[in-house]
Amino acid sequence: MIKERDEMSRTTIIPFGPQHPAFLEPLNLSLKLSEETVIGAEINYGYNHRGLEKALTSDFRRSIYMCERVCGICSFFHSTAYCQSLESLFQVQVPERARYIRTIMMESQRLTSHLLALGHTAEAIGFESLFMQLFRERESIMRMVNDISGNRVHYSMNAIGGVRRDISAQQRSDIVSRMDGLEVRFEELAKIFEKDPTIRARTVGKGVLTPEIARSYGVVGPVARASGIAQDLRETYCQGLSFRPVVREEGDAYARSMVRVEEILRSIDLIRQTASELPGGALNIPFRGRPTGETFTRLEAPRGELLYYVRAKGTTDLERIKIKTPAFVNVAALSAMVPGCEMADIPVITVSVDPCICCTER
Amino acid sequence: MAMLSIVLRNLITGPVTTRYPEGPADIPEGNRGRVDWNMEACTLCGLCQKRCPTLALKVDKKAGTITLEVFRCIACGVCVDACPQEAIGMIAETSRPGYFKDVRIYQKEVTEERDEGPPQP
Repeated sequence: MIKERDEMSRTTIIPFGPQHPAFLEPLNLSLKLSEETVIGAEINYGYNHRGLEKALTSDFRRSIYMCERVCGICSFFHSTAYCQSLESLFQVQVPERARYIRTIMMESQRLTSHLLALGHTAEAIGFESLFMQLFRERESIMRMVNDISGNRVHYSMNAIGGVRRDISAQQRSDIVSRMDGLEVRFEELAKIFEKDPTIRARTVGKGVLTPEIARSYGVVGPVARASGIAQDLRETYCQGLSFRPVVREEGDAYARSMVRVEEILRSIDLIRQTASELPGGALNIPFRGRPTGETFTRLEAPRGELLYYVRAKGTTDLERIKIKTPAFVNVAALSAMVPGCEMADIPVITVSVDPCICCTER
Repeated sequence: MAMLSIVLRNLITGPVTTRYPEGPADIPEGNRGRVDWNMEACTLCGLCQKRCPTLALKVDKKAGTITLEVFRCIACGVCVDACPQEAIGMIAETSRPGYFKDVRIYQKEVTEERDEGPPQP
Protein backbone atom coordinates (compact mmCIF):
# COMPACT_ATOMS: atom_id res chain seq x y z
CA MET A 1 0.00 0.00 0.00
CA ILE A 2 2.85 2.33 0.83
CA LYS A 3 4.44 1.50 -2.50
CA GLU A 4 1.25 2.37 -4.43
CA ARG A 5 0.98 5.73 -2.71
CA ASP A 6 4.63 6.34 -3.33
CA GLU A 7 4.13 6.04 -7.04
CA MET A 8 1.17 8.43 -7.04
CA SER A 9 2.58 11.19 -4.84
CA ARG A 10 5.86 12.92 -4.30
CA THR A 11 7.64 12.17 -1.02
CA THR A 12 8.16 15.07 1.34
CA ILE A 13 10.75 15.43 4.08
CA ILE A 14 9.49 17.21 7.18
CA PRO A 15 11.81 18.18 10.03
CA PHE A 16 10.18 17.38 13.40
CA GLY A 17 11.90 19.03 16.38
CA PRO A 18 14.29 19.85 18.06
CA GLN A 19 11.97 22.71 19.03
CA HIS A 20 8.44 21.48 18.57
CA PRO A 21 5.28 22.09 20.61
CA ALA A 22 4.52 18.36 20.85
CA PHE A 23 8.08 17.43 21.83
CA LEU A 24 9.39 17.94 25.31
CA GLU A 25 12.88 16.93 24.37
CA PRO A 26 15.30 18.47 21.86
CA LEU A 27 15.18 15.56 19.45
CA ASN A 28 15.13 16.00 15.70
CA LEU A 29 13.40 13.56 13.36
CA SER A 30 13.61 13.99 9.61
CA LEU A 31 10.35 12.38 8.55
CA LYS A 32 9.90 11.11 5.02
CA LEU A 33 6.22 11.37 4.16
CA SER A 34 4.05 10.10 1.40
CA GLU A 35 0.88 12.16 1.80
CA GLU A 36 0.09 11.73 5.52
CA THR A 37 1.87 8.41 5.94
CA VAL A 38 5.38 8.23 7.29
CA ILE A 39 7.58 6.00 5.13
CA GLY A 40 10.90 6.63 6.84
CA ALA A 41 12.60 8.57 9.57
CA GLU A 42 16.11 9.72 10.28
CA ILE A 43 17.08 10.60 13.84
CA ASN A 44 19.56 13.39 14.42
CA TYR A 45 21.28 13.68 17.77
CA GLY A 46 23.62 16.24 19.18
CA TYR A 47 21.56 19.29 20.17
CA ASN A 48 22.21 18.79 23.86
CA HIS A 49 25.74 17.40 24.02
CA ARG A 50 27.58 18.62 27.12
CA GLY A 51 30.74 16.51 27.18
CA LEU A 52 29.96 15.05 30.60
CA GLU A 53 31.94 11.84 30.10
CA LYS A 54 35.14 13.86 29.89
CA ALA A 55 34.13 16.18 32.73
CA LEU A 56 33.42 13.18 34.99
CA THR A 57 37.04 12.03 34.78
CA SER A 58 38.07 14.75 37.25
CA ASP A 59 38.32 14.08 41.02
CA PHE A 60 36.55 10.77 41.67
CA ARG A 61 35.01 11.98 44.96
CA ARG A 62 33.50 15.07 43.36
CA SER A 63 32.18 13.22 40.31
CA ILE A 64 29.35 11.60 42.33
CA TYR A 65 27.50 14.91 42.33
CA MET A 66 28.20 15.58 38.68
CA CYS A 67 26.94 12.08 37.79
CA GLU A 68 23.57 13.04 39.21
CA ARG A 69 23.48 15.90 36.73
CA VAL A 70 23.70 13.56 33.72
CA CYS A 71 19.92 13.24 33.89
CA GLY A 72 17.40 14.92 36.13
CA ILE A 73 14.79 12.17 35.96
CA CYS A 74 17.04 9.22 36.79
CA SER A 75 19.70 11.12 38.78
CA PHE A 76 19.86 8.59 41.61
CA PHE A 77 20.44 5.70 39.20
CA HIS A 78 23.44 7.46 37.70
CA SER A 79 25.04 8.16 41.06
CA THR A 80 24.28 4.61 42.26
CA ALA A 81 25.85 3.09 39.16
CA TYR A 82 28.89 5.32 39.61
CA CYS A 83 29.22 4.49 43.31
CA GLN A 84 28.84 0.77 42.62
CA SER A 85 31.62 0.99 40.03
CA LEU A 86 33.97 2.65 42.49
CA GLU A 87 32.94 0.24 45.25
CA SER A 88 33.96 -2.67 43.06
CA LEU A 89 37.30 -0.93 42.31
CA PHE A 90 37.88 -0.39 46.05
CA GLN A 91 36.47 -3.88 46.79
CA VAL A 92 34.09 -2.47 49.38
CA GLN A 93 30.99 -4.44 50.36
CA VAL A 94 28.07 -2.05 50.86
CA PRO A 95 26.16 -2.61 54.13
CA GLU A 96 22.76 -4.24 53.79
CA ARG A 97 20.93 -1.20 55.21
CA ALA A 98 22.52 1.09 52.60
CA ARG A 99 21.55 -1.34 49.84
CA TYR A 100 17.93 -1.29 51.03
CA ILE A 101 17.87 2.51 51.28
CA ARG A 102 19.26 2.71 47.74
CA THR A 103 16.50 0.36 46.58
CA ILE A 104 13.81 2.55 48.20
CA MET A 105 15.20 5.68 46.58
CA MET A 106 15.66 4.01 43.18
CA GLU A 107 12.14 2.61 43.15
CA SER A 108 10.74 5.98 44.25
CA GLN A 109 12.55 7.61 41.38
CA ARG A 110 11.24 4.93 39.04
CA LEU A 111 7.72 5.86 40.18
CA THR A 112 8.31 9.56 39.42
CA SER A 113 9.88 8.70 36.07
CA HIS A 114 7.09 6.34 34.98
CA LEU A 115 4.37 8.73 36.18
CA LEU A 116 6.05 11.46 34.16
CA ALA A 117 6.20 9.23 31.06
CA LEU A 118 2.54 8.24 31.44
CA GLY A 119 1.55 11.85 32.05
CA HIS A 120 3.31 12.92 28.88
CA THR A 121 1.65 10.09 26.95
CA ALA A 122 -1.75 11.33 28.18
CA GLU A 123 -0.82 14.88 27.21
CA ALA A 124 0.36 13.82 23.74
CA ILE A 125 -2.97 12.05 23.26
CA GLY A 126 -4.78 15.22 24.34
CA PHE A 127 -6.09 13.81 27.63
CA GLU A 128 -5.13 16.80 29.77
CA SER A 129 -7.20 15.88 32.82
CA LEU A 130 -5.50 12.48 33.10
CA PHE A 131 -2.13 14.20 32.76
CA MET A 132 -3.04 16.43 35.73
CA GLN A 133 -4.09 13.45 37.87
CA LEU A 134 -0.87 11.56 37.12
CA PHE A 135 1.23 14.59 37.97
CA ARG A 136 -0.65 15.05 41.21
CA GLU A 137 0.32 11.51 42.23
CA ARG A 138 3.87 12.20 41.09
CA GLU A 139 3.96 15.25 43.34
CA SER A 140 3.20 13.14 46.41
CA ILE A 141 6.24 10.95 45.60
CA MET A 142 8.39 14.03 45.02
CA ARG A 143 7.30 15.27 48.42
CA MET A 144 8.19 11.92 50.00
CA VAL A 145 11.71 11.85 48.52
CA ASN A 146 12.15 15.47 49.54
CA ASP A 147 11.32 14.55 53.12
CA ILE A 148 13.89 11.72 53.03
CA SER A 149 16.73 13.35 51.12
CA GLY A 150 16.08 17.09 51.39
CA ASN A 151 15.72 17.61 47.64
CA ARG A 152 13.20 16.77 44.95
CA VAL A 153 15.51 15.84 42.09
CA HIS A 154 19.16 15.59 43.12
CA TYR A 155 19.08 13.53 46.28
CA SER A 156 22.87 13.69 46.95
CA MET A 157 22.38 10.64 49.14
CA ASN A 158 24.96 8.33 47.64
CA ALA A 159 28.50 7.96 48.82
CA ILE A 160 31.18 5.51 47.77
CA GLY A 161 30.62 2.64 50.21
CA GLY A 162 27.01 3.34 51.15
CA VAL A 163 24.58 6.21 51.65
CA ARG A 164 24.84 9.54 53.47
CA ARG A 165 21.36 9.85 54.93
CA ASP A 166 19.35 7.46 57.02
CA ILE A 167 15.63 6.65 56.96
CA SER A 168 14.08 7.03 60.41
CA ALA A 169 11.34 4.79 61.85
CA GLN A 170 8.86 7.66 61.40
CA GLN A 171 9.83 8.02 57.74
CA ARG A 172 9.48 4.27 57.23
CA SER A 173 5.90 4.25 58.41
CA ASP A 174 5.25 7.39 56.34
CA ILE A 175 6.61 5.63 53.22
CA VAL A 176 4.39 2.58 53.81
CA SER A 177 1.25 4.68 54.38
CA ARG A 178 1.97 6.84 51.33
CA MET A 179 2.43 3.73 49.19
CA ASP A 180 -0.89 2.31 50.45
CA GLY A 181 -2.68 5.55 49.51
CA LEU A 182 -0.95 5.80 46.15
CA GLU A 183 -1.79 2.20 45.24
CA VAL A 184 -5.52 2.78 45.72
CA ARG A 185 -5.54 6.04 43.75
CA PHE A 186 -3.25 4.73 41.01
CA GLU A 187 -5.31 1.58 40.42
CA GLU A 188 -8.18 3.87 39.49
CA LEU A 189 -5.96 5.71 36.98
CA ALA A 190 -4.57 2.40 35.68
CA LYS A 191 -8.10 1.34 34.73
CA ILE A 192 -8.46 4.51 32.65
CA PHE A 193 -5.21 3.72 30.86
CA GLU A 194 -6.34 0.17 30.24
CA LYS A 195 -9.89 0.72 29.11
CA ASP A 196 -10.45 4.30 27.99
CA PRO A 197 -11.55 4.32 24.31
CA THR A 198 -9.67 7.58 23.55
CA ILE A 199 -6.37 6.19 24.78
CA ARG A 200 -6.91 2.86 23.04
CA ALA A 201 -7.78 4.58 19.74
CA ARG A 202 -4.58 6.61 19.82
CA THR A 203 -2.17 3.90 21.00
CA VAL A 204 -3.31 0.37 20.06
CA GLY A 205 -1.39 -0.88 17.00
CA LYS A 206 0.68 2.32 16.75
CA GLY A 207 4.46 2.13 16.47
CA VAL A 208 4.70 -1.66 16.59
CA LEU A 209 8.13 -3.09 17.39
CA THR A 210 8.30 -6.84 16.82
CA PRO A 211 10.55 -8.95 19.09
CA GLU A 212 12.96 -9.66 16.20
CA ILE A 213 13.43 -5.98 15.35
CA ALA A 214 13.58 -5.11 19.07
CA ARG A 215 16.44 -7.59 19.48
CA SER A 216 18.25 -6.27 16.41
CA TYR A 217 18.12 -2.72 17.79
CA GLY A 218 19.10 -3.98 21.24
CA VAL A 219 16.30 -2.06 22.98
CA VAL A 220 16.09 -2.23 26.76
CA GLY A 221 13.70 -1.56 29.62
CA PRO A 222 9.94 -1.09 29.19
CA VAL A 223 10.32 -0.84 25.39
CA ALA A 224 11.93 -4.31 25.27
CA ARG A 225 9.52 -5.77 27.83
CA ALA A 226 6.54 -4.48 25.80
CA SER A 227 7.92 -6.41 22.81
CA GLY A 228 8.04 -9.71 24.68
CA ILE A 229 11.71 -9.63 25.77
CA ALA A 230 11.71 -10.63 29.43
CA GLN A 231 14.79 -8.89 30.75
CA ASP A 232 14.91 -6.90 33.97
CA LEU A 233 18.10 -6.52 35.99
CA ARG A 234 16.07 -6.09 39.17
CA GLU A 235 15.57 -9.85 39.24
CA THR A 236 19.19 -10.19 40.39
CA TYR A 237 19.45 -6.92 42.33
CA CYS A 238 16.33 -7.40 44.44
CA GLN A 239 17.37 -10.73 45.92
CA GLY A 240 15.33 -11.63 48.96
CA LEU A 241 12.34 -9.60 47.76
CA SER A 242 9.47 -10.94 45.73
CA PHE A 243 9.75 -9.49 42.26
CA ARG A 244 9.02 -10.59 38.71
CA PRO A 245 9.27 -8.47 35.55
CA VAL A 246 6.26 -7.18 33.62
CA VAL A 247 6.21 -8.52 30.06
CA ARG A 248 3.71 -7.92 27.27
CA GLU A 249 3.69 -9.26 23.74
CA GLU A 250 2.03 -6.61 21.54
CA GLY A 251 4.98 -4.24 21.09
CA ASP A 252 2.84 -1.17 20.33
CA ALA A 253 2.52 2.20 22.08
CA TYR A 254 -0.34 0.83 24.20
CA ALA A 255 1.78 -2.09 25.44
CA ARG A 256 4.64 0.24 26.35
CA SER A 257 2.29 2.40 28.42
CA MET A 258 0.71 -0.64 30.05
CA VAL A 259 4.14 -2.05 30.98
CA ARG A 260 4.83 1.23 32.79
CA VAL A 261 1.43 1.16 34.48
CA GLU A 262 2.05 -2.34 35.83
CA GLU A 263 5.65 -1.52 36.76
CA ILE A 264 4.39 1.35 38.92
CA LEU A 265 2.30 -1.14 40.90
CA ARG A 266 5.31 -3.50 41.19
CA SER A 267 7.51 -0.62 42.36
CA ILE A 268 4.96 0.39 44.99
CA ASP A 269 5.04 -3.20 46.21
CA LEU A 270 8.86 -3.26 46.23
CA ILE A 271 9.10 0.00 48.19
CA ARG A 272 6.62 -1.32 50.75
CA GLN A 273 8.54 -4.58 51.14
CA THR A 274 11.89 -2.80 51.44
CA ALA A 275 10.64 -0.17 53.87
CA SER A 276 9.06 -2.73 56.16
CA GLU A 277 12.06 -5.11 56.09
CA LEU A 278 14.76 -2.41 56.42
CA PRO A 279 17.66 -4.10 58.26
CA GLY A 280 19.77 -2.36 60.89
CA GLY A 281 23.49 -1.69 60.75
CA ALA A 282 25.96 0.81 59.36
CA LEU A 283 25.13 3.27 56.61
CA ASN A 284 28.45 3.27 54.86
CA ILE A 285 31.85 1.64 54.88
CA PRO A 286 34.91 3.89 54.61
CA PHE A 287 37.44 3.30 51.88
CA ARG A 288 41.11 4.19 51.61
CA GLY A 289 43.43 5.16 48.80
CA ARG A 290 42.78 5.81 45.17
CA PRO A 291 41.01 3.61 42.65
CA THR A 292 42.90 1.29 40.32
CA GLY A 293 41.65 -1.04 37.61
CA GLU A 294 38.57 -1.16 35.43
CA THR A 295 34.98 -2.23 35.99
CA PHE A 296 31.53 -2.51 34.45
CA THR A 297 28.32 -1.85 36.38
CA ARG A 298 24.79 -2.49 35.18
CA LEU A 299 21.58 -1.19 36.75
CA GLU A 300 17.92 -1.25 35.79
CA ALA A 301 17.09 2.45 35.37
CA PRO A 302 13.47 3.50 34.65
CA ARG A 303 14.13 3.42 30.91
CA GLY A 304 16.18 0.21 30.95
CA GLU A 305 19.69 -1.02 31.46
CA LEU A 306 22.18 1.66 32.49
CA LEU A 307 25.83 0.73 32.05
CA TYR A 308 28.88 2.43 33.57
CA TYR A 309 32.41 1.59 32.57
CA VAL A 310 35.11 3.10 34.78
CA ARG A 311 38.87 2.83 34.32
CA ALA A 312 41.26 4.24 36.91
CA LYS A 313 45.03 4.30 37.13
CA GLY A 314 45.62 5.00 40.82
CA THR A 315 45.34 8.79 40.71
CA THR A 316 42.62 11.13 41.96
CA ASP A 317 41.48 11.67 38.38
CA LEU A 318 39.84 8.75 36.61
CA GLU A 319 41.16 7.70 33.26
CA ARG A 320 37.89 7.01 31.47
CA ILE A 321 34.17 6.83 32.17
CA LYS A 322 31.82 5.47 29.56
CA ILE A 323 28.09 5.74 30.16
CA LYS A 324 25.67 3.73 28.04
CA THR A 325 22.23 5.05 28.78
CA PRO A 326 19.00 3.18 28.01
CA ALA A 327 17.46 6.10 26.10
CA PHE A 328 20.35 6.01 23.63
CA VAL A 329 19.32 2.62 22.24
CA ASN A 330 15.58 3.10 22.67
CA VAL A 331 15.45 6.38 20.75
CA ALA A 332 17.28 4.75 17.83
CA ALA A 333 14.51 2.14 17.60
CA LEU A 334 12.08 4.95 16.69
CA SER A 335 13.26 4.69 13.09
CA ALA A 336 11.85 1.14 13.03
CA MET A 337 8.58 2.10 14.77
CA VAL A 338 7.36 5.03 12.74
CA PRO A 339 7.25 3.74 9.14
CA GLY A 340 3.63 3.12 8.17
CA CYS A 341 2.09 5.36 10.82
CA GLU A 342 0.27 8.65 10.32
CA MET A 343 2.03 11.97 10.83
CA ALA A 344 -0.30 12.80 13.76
CA ASP A 345 0.80 9.65 15.63
CA ILE A 346 4.47 10.69 15.78
CA PRO A 347 4.23 12.52 19.16
CA VAL A 348 2.41 9.61 20.83
CA ILE A 349 4.86 7.00 19.49
CA THR A 350 7.87 9.11 20.47
CA VAL A 351 6.58 9.73 23.99
CA SER A 352 5.74 6.02 24.39
CA VAL A 353 9.48 5.28 24.01
CA ASP A 354 10.12 7.77 26.85
CA PRO A 355 13.04 9.51 25.18
CA CYS A 356 15.47 11.34 27.43
CA ILE A 357 17.84 13.46 25.39
CA CYS A 358 19.73 14.49 28.51
CA CYS A 359 20.74 10.84 28.94
CA THR A 360 21.16 10.17 25.22
CA GLU A 361 23.60 12.98 24.54
CA ARG A 362 25.23 13.27 27.96
CA MET B 1 -16.69 6.99 33.15
CA ALA B 2 -13.88 6.40 35.64
CA MET B 3 -12.42 9.78 34.76
CA LEU B 4 -15.78 11.47 35.32
CA SER B 5 -15.99 10.23 38.89
CA ILE B 6 -12.47 11.60 39.57
CA VAL B 7 -13.43 14.96 38.04
CA LEU B 8 -16.60 15.16 40.18
CA ARG B 9 -14.64 14.25 43.31
CA ASN B 10 -12.09 16.97 42.52
CA LEU B 11 -14.91 19.51 42.34
CA ILE B 12 -15.75 18.85 45.98
CA THR B 13 -12.23 18.44 47.39
CA GLY B 14 -10.81 21.71 46.04
CA PRO B 15 -7.35 22.52 44.66
CA VAL B 16 -4.19 20.71 45.77
CA THR B 17 -1.87 23.50 44.65
CA THR B 18 -0.83 26.50 46.78
CA ARG B 19 -1.26 30.08 45.63
CA TYR B 20 2.43 30.89 45.42
CA PRO B 21 3.74 33.69 45.00
CA GLU B 22 0.56 35.36 46.41
CA GLY B 23 0.66 33.03 49.40
CA PRO B 24 3.64 31.55 51.22
CA ALA B 25 5.63 28.85 49.42
CA ASP B 26 5.10 25.32 50.63
CA ILE B 27 8.68 24.33 51.48
CA PRO B 28 9.04 21.10 53.48
CA GLU B 29 11.02 21.06 56.68
CA GLY B 30 14.48 19.62 56.30
CA ASN B 31 14.73 20.86 52.75
CA ARG B 32 18.32 21.37 51.68
CA GLY B 33 18.28 25.07 50.92
CA ARG B 34 20.67 27.88 51.81
CA VAL B 35 23.95 26.91 53.50
CA ASP B 36 24.62 29.05 56.54
CA TRP B 37 27.71 29.37 58.78
CA ASN B 38 27.66 30.01 62.48
CA MET B 39 30.88 31.98 62.65
CA GLU B 40 31.01 31.84 66.43
CA ALA B 41 31.49 28.07 66.32
CA CYS B 42 33.62 28.04 63.16
CA THR B 43 37.36 27.52 63.68
CA LEU B 44 38.26 28.18 60.03
CA CYS B 45 39.79 24.70 59.72
CA GLY B 46 39.09 24.65 55.98
CA LEU B 47 37.60 21.15 55.82
CA CYS B 48 34.46 22.47 54.11
CA GLN B 49 36.57 24.04 51.37
CA LYS B 50 38.50 20.80 50.92
CA ARG B 51 35.39 18.65 50.59
CA CYS B 52 33.19 20.99 48.49
CA PRO B 53 32.53 19.17 45.18
CA THR B 54 31.89 22.36 43.19
CA LEU B 55 34.74 24.46 44.65
CA ALA B 56 32.19 27.08 45.68
CA LEU B 57 33.93 27.88 48.96
CA LYS B 58 37.02 29.75 49.95
CA VAL B 59 38.28 29.88 53.52
CA ASP B 60 40.70 32.70 54.27
CA LYS B 61 42.30 31.99 57.62
CA LYS B 62 44.25 35.28 57.72
CA ALA B 63 41.28 37.53 57.06
CA GLY B 64 38.95 35.24 59.03
CA THR B 65 36.40 34.99 56.21
CA ILE B 66 34.49 32.31 54.39
CA THR B 67 33.47 33.30 50.86
CA LEU B 68 30.64 31.37 49.22
CA GLU B 69 29.87 31.69 45.53
CA VAL B 70 26.13 31.21 45.77
CA PHE B 71 25.59 30.20 42.15
CA ARG B 72 28.23 27.47 42.32
CA CYS B 73 26.77 25.90 45.47
CA ILE B 74 24.59 22.85 44.74
CA ALA B 75 23.38 22.48 48.35
CA CYS B 76 24.58 18.86 48.52
CA GLY B 77 25.28 19.11 52.26
CA VAL B 78 28.82 17.69 52.12
CA CYS B 79 30.19 20.66 54.10
CA VAL B 80 27.48 20.19 56.73
CA ASP B 81 28.52 16.54 57.19
CA ALA B 82 32.24 17.39 57.11
CA CYS B 83 32.21 20.19 59.72
CA PRO B 84 33.72 18.89 63.00
CA GLN B 85 32.35 21.90 64.96
CA GLU B 86 28.80 21.54 63.56
CA ALA B 87 29.03 25.20 62.58
CA ILE B 88 27.33 24.75 59.22
CA GLY B 89 23.59 24.42 58.86
CA MET B 90 21.04 24.49 56.10
CA ILE B 91 18.01 26.74 55.97
CA ALA B 92 14.94 25.40 54.18
CA GLU B 93 14.38 27.98 51.48
CA THR B 94 14.53 28.07 47.70
CA SER B 95 17.31 29.93 45.94
CA ARG B 96 16.31 33.23 44.42
CA PRO B 97 17.02 34.37 40.90
CA GLY B 98 19.38 37.32 40.58
CA TYR B 99 20.95 39.74 38.16
CA PHE B 100 24.45 39.05 39.46
CA LYS B 101 26.36 35.97 40.57
CA ASP B 102 26.03 36.61 44.29
CA VAL B 103 28.90 36.07 46.67
CA ARG B 104 28.22 35.74 50.41
CA ILE B 105 31.00 36.52 52.85
CA TYR B 106 30.96 35.31 56.44
CA GLN B 107 33.30 37.20 58.77
CA LYS B 108 34.65 35.74 61.97
CA GLU B 109 34.91 38.26 64.79
CA VAL B 110 38.56 38.46 65.79
CA THR B 111 39.18 39.04 69.49
CA GLU B 112 42.97 39.18 69.70
CA GLU B 113 45.13 41.93 68.15
CA ARG B 114 46.61 41.12 64.80
CA ASP B 115 48.64 42.90 62.12
CA GLU B 116 46.60 44.41 59.34
CA GLY B 117 47.96 43.21 56.00
CA PRO B 118 47.83 45.21 52.80
CA PRO B 119 44.25 45.92 51.61
CA GLN B 120 42.77 43.13 49.49
CA PRO B 121 41.79 44.10 45.94
